[in-house]
Amino acid sequence: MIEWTESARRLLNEYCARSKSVLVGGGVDADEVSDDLRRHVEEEVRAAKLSVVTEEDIRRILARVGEPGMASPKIADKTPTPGVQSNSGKKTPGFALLIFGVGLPAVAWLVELLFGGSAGTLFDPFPTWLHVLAVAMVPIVNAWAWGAARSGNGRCFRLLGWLNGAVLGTCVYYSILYLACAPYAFIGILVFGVGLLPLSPYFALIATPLLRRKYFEQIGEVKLPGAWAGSIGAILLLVLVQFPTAATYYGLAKATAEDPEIKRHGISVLRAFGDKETMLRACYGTFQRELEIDLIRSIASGDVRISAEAAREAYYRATGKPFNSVPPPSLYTRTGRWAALDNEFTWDGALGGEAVAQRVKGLSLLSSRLDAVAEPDAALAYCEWTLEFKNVSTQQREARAQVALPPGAVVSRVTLWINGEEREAAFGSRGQVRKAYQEVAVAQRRDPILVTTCGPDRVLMQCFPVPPNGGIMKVKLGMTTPLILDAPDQGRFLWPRFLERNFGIAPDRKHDLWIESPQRLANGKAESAKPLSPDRPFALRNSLTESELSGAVPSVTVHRNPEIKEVWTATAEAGTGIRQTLQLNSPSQVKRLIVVVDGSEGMKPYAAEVAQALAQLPAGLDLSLLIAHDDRKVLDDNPRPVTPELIAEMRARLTRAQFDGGQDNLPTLEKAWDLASAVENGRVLWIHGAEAVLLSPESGVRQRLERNLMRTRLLELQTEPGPDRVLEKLDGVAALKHVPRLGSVSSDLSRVFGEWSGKIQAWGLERVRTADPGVGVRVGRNIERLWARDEALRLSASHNHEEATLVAAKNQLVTPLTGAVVLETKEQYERHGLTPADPKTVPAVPEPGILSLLGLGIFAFLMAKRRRKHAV
Amino acid sequence: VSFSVSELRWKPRVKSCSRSFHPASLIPTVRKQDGFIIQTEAMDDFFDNWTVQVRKGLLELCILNALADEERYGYDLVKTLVEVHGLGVTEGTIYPLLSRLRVAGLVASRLEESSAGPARKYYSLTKEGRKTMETMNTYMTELNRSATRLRKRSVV
Repeated sequence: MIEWTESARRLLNEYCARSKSVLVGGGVDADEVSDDLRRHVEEEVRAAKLSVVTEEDIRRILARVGEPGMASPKIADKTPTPGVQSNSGKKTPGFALLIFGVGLPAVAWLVELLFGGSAGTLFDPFPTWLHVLAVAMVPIVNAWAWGAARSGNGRCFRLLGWLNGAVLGTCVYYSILYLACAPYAFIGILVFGVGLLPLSPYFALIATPLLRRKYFEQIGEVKLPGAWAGSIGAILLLVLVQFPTAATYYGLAKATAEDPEIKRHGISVLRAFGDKETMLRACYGTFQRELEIDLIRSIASGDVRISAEAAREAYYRATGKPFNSVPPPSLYTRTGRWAALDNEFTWDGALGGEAVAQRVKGLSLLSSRLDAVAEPDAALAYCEWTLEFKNVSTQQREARAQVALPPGAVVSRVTLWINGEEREAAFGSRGQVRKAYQEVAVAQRRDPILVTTCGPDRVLMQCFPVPPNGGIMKVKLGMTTPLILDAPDQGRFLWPRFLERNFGIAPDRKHDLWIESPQRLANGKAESAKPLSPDRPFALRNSLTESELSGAVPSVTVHRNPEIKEVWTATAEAGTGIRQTLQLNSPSQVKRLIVVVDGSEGMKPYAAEVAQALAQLPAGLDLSLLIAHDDRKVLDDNPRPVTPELIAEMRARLTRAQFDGGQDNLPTLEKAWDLASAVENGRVLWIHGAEAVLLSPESGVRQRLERNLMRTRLLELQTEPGPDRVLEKLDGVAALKHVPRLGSVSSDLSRVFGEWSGKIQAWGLERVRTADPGVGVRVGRNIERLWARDEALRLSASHNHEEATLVAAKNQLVTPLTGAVVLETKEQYERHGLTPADPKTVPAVPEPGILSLLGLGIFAFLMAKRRRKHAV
Repeated sequence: VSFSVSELRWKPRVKSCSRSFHPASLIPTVRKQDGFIIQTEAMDDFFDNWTVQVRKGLLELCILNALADEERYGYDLVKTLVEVHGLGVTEGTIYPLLSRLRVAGLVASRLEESSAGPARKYYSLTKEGRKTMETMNTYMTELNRSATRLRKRSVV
């Protein structure tokens, strides 16, 4: 039911009466025309779906209907032609509206999308694709409104009305966002004549309603819908899709607070709503700008400035992953979809430091080659990893990586190619080599490489500078490693791999692997081919991608003669040598076991495997299971004797346990150590993922491990490759033992438990220095290096650091107390009191060419001898 | 031969621009540029007066042509005619014309009650109206042809 106001009705009556008086005597039926006009107006009202008809509505309709005339077009209407003037005689929109309502927003949108001007310097205006679309709609809809108003085309006026409303909302939203930088832009225009683009939301905000009005006037519709609802809807939608970003800002601000409760609340918010891309940007220091004008961030974070370091910790706590284990953050506003930023992360703040830190732009691994030679008699292998780095950026770069060595291995050779020549490293105390590296690398920007340990069986390698603009740097790490003996007749060799790196590796880039041995080899899938001649070695080769090498723990089984149990080598000192004995270890008399399971998200897939392995625990020991989690209620501080019921209970608890984010394991480790060391010969078994950030001081755990009166041991098993800051801090502590990863978590744990119970025989190698080593088979000098490593660790554990450093440096080894550095010139070595290794004394993998030549020579010699014999 | 309404929609796009009228003559000049017919200011008044005369004459024919095929609802008929580009009529102008055509016996009308609103008025051609329409269309076609022929001759 349409309700007419009195004034509206009166206005229509007046119009009809006037029409009648004008038309009387004009050859028409004036009453009929009057009725027709009244009917027409009522139809218009009905078409406009008006519920209440006001005087204004009638006035608008009558303006369009016009005064009734005697069958002649309006003479006053000079230009009925489209595009010049509309039917109503109102002016059409001019070119100023086209420029400010269409041109400028279109240019601003395009420039932001191509060059990321605002994203790079102010804030990201396009955090989602919806924002990109919303801003794109501004010039499109305004252009439509402009064109339609010019032509008087009223088709789809409802749709245009709604879209115009939505565009108005978008303009309001962005005008608010750019409010903080508008004064700067205004000053920029006045002073420098630039700064128009940041003001484009304001120009569009003025132009959009004007275009709406012009269009409305031209088409003469009674009502153009969508002004309020469209704009409010657009604002709400943009706010809604911006919510994860705002929640991330809020969460980051809270997660980096000092108060533990607030911190925990922030982490919870980040885990629930955090946007990883936004967090990642914070990790790369984009939230530390001096000029902070991101309104949403200011409101959400309470204007808290978030440092990159704090953001990295929050990222780990929220996601459970190291920030540098994923590619650097990308922006929507770059050329090419999701392309990484070019300019934002050029500064490498970790240059010369002890952290691998963020991925640097343009640096990648060009080639990787691993050559190993096994010495089965000595139950060891020597492996060389040759790496080439390429830098396509415009700045010099430092390549840094944490490398996981084979269990028990020691770096015994470091080589750098300078101008095509191989330069060997000097080995010295850790402080000495780092100081030399920092001076030469950071200050002088010359060619050094530094290798130091960063935890049990892991080293940090850093080399600088990889030359810019496609420059290449080539380095080699040599490592001596004992085989892991499953039985006297076979041992296993594990390839080294990256744990953390600041350079990229293309997914299809392959590591080329080669291993040779005088005896048979197998890698699970393939058996080494029979050599062509008896003097030639067995060999295996393989090519693995980075994910295959890092993820699958690839190993090679080396067969050996089980009869050889004692080997020896002569040392450089006359009359002394090293003797190595293969012996069966007696089962450990473990009294108490405290299992600590990392509660981080990355551990979720392994919980079932750990639960499965618990069934292999020997009876007779006390067991307790602790899960390192923010929720301390999961602590179980009552070790109980192992029974099937207890194991079932533990397994159920593990299955139910919550794993999320990145958890601080140190408080739980302290608790576990206290429980384990309450009795003699206790063990803490720490099963953990990669703890990328040290979330609390390690001093408590370190002190417990160093002041170890009850012969307690901390065994650590890392489930997935990655850095672990706790292990880095516990580097060189004798009570910390590494459980090697040979297969699944379940099988590795079962092997440990099996050795404790005596179900699995554990074979070990004992090396001693003796004046009379000449028993058994004589082997190469690599066993001396392994002896020296053990000796240095033993001396270090007994606080004889000076002697330990001397032993390691003399034997050219990288240990917790020593490192290796390659410098460029002799003068640099002398200034830092270092002596580079003599190339004749460094271990090496024989080149296949040399072996071939040797074989060929022997073959020729035998043939000649045979010929002479026949001649005689 | 008859005009259809759609044919009457045609209208050259005229861009009012320029101060570059022909200074030496009062005779209006029209030139083409970028597909637009450029209308100089000097010719505006003349052109406007001329189009008013043309449209005035054409309007009745347009109404008859619009009713040629079917009976039409008055409101709808008026809207259709208003949208014919170049005809330049307002809605108020058409109703008196319809009334005059009805009085002249060329158009018939009838009212039909509507549940959705006011009673609807339908218009249709009478026999005489149809005859008149055909005569007018023939005349227009011939006139147009002759004028075109003249133009072509002057171009040659």
